Amino acid sequence: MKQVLIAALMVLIAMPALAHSVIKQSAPADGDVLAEMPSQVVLTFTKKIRLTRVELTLGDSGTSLDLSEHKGFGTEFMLPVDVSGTGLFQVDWRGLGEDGHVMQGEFGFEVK
Amino acid sequence: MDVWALSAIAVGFLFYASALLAMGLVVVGAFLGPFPAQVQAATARQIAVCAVLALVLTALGFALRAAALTGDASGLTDPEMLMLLWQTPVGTELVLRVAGLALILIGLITGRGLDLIGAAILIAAFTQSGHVASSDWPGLRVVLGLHLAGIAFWIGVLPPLFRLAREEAYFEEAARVGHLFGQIAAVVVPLLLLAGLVMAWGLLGSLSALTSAYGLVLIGKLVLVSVLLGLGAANKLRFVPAMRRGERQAARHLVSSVRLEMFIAAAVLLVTAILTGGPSLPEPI
Repeated sequence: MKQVLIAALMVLIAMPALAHSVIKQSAPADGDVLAEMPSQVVLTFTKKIRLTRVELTLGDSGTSLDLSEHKGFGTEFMLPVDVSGTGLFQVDWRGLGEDGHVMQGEFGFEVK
Repeated sequence: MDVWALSAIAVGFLFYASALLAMGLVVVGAFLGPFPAQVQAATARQIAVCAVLALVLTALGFALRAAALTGDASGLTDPEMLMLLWQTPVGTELVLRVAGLALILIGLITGRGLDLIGAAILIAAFTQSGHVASSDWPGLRVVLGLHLAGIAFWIGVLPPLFRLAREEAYFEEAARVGHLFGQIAAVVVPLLLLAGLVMAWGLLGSLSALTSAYGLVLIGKLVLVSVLLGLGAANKLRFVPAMRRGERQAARHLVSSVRLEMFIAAAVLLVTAILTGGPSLPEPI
C-alpha cells in the first residue's frame, strides 16, 4: 500500500515537467537577442489551435497581445506588438486544441 | 503546468473514479445481482453518490478548463471561453455526461434499463474529446469504448464483492459473485487489455515513442495494471476457488486483495487522468 502511495506521489511531483507544448517555432525564437523590439510575435504550431491568451511580460509589467483577429483555429499566428523597452521579455501563450486539450507554453527573448 | 491545469487533472481523476464506479456498479448489478438486500441498498446509495459527485465534477471540470484557457480565475465564468469550449467536442462531452449521469439517477428510482442506457451514454461521452478522439483512426473511439466498459465492469465489482466477502453471513454469496465475475473477467479482461494495447499503439505509433513524457507515464500505468492483474489472478485462481470449497479463511484474503485492488485501481485512474490531461502525444520528427 505504502509503495502505491509513494508511486502516486512521485507521479504527481513529476507532473509539472509534463506540460503541453506543441509549438513548432516562434519569431523571435526562444533565447534570441535582438537589437530592437520586434513589431510582431509569430507563433507556429504543429497542430491547429485557438489561441486564448498571449501575454508579453517585461519585469513586473505584462501586456496581453491582441487576439481579436484570431478567433478561429489555426497553426500560424502573427500578433502585433505595441510594447517598447529593453531587457528580458517573456511570452506566455495559452490555447485550446481542436480535441479540447488546453495547451500552454512560454519562451523568452532579449532586447538590448 | 499551472494550478489550473493541475486542478483540471485532479478533477479529471475524481470524475473518472466516480463516473466509472457509478457505471460499473450499474453494470455489475445488472449482470451479477441482485445482491442481498443490505448490500443491494448500499450499492444503490453508492451509485447515487457517485453519479451526483460526477455531475458536480463535470460542471467544475468544464469551468476549470475555461480558467486554464485564460490562466486566471476570470476564465471560470468568462462567457467567451465557456462558449468556445461549448462549441468544441468538450461541449458534446458535457451534454453526454449530464445525460448519462441523469439517466443513471433516474434509473435508480424507476428500475433497471434506463441506468444501463445511461452507462452506455457515459461511455460515449468519454470518447468525445482527448487524444483518442483526435486520432486519425476513428476506430480507436470504439476501442476506447470497449476498454472503458471493461474497466467499469472490473471496478464495479470491487465494492459489492468487498462488502459480501467481509460479512460471514454472505460467505456463499461472495463465493458465487467472485466465481461468476471470474468467469466473465476471463473474457472481458483480455479484451480490455488488448483494447488498451491497440490504443497505445494507435496513439504512439512506435516503440521509440515510449521514451516521450506520454510514453513514460503510460509505462507507469502498465506497471500498475500488471499488479492489478496479479491480484485479479490470485482472486480467481486461489481465494475464490478456496471459498467455493468452503474454506472460510479465504474470504479474509479476498477482502485484503480486493481492498488493495481498489487502491491500485485508483492509482491507475490518477495516472490515466495525467495521461489524458497532461503530456502531449509525441510529435513525429
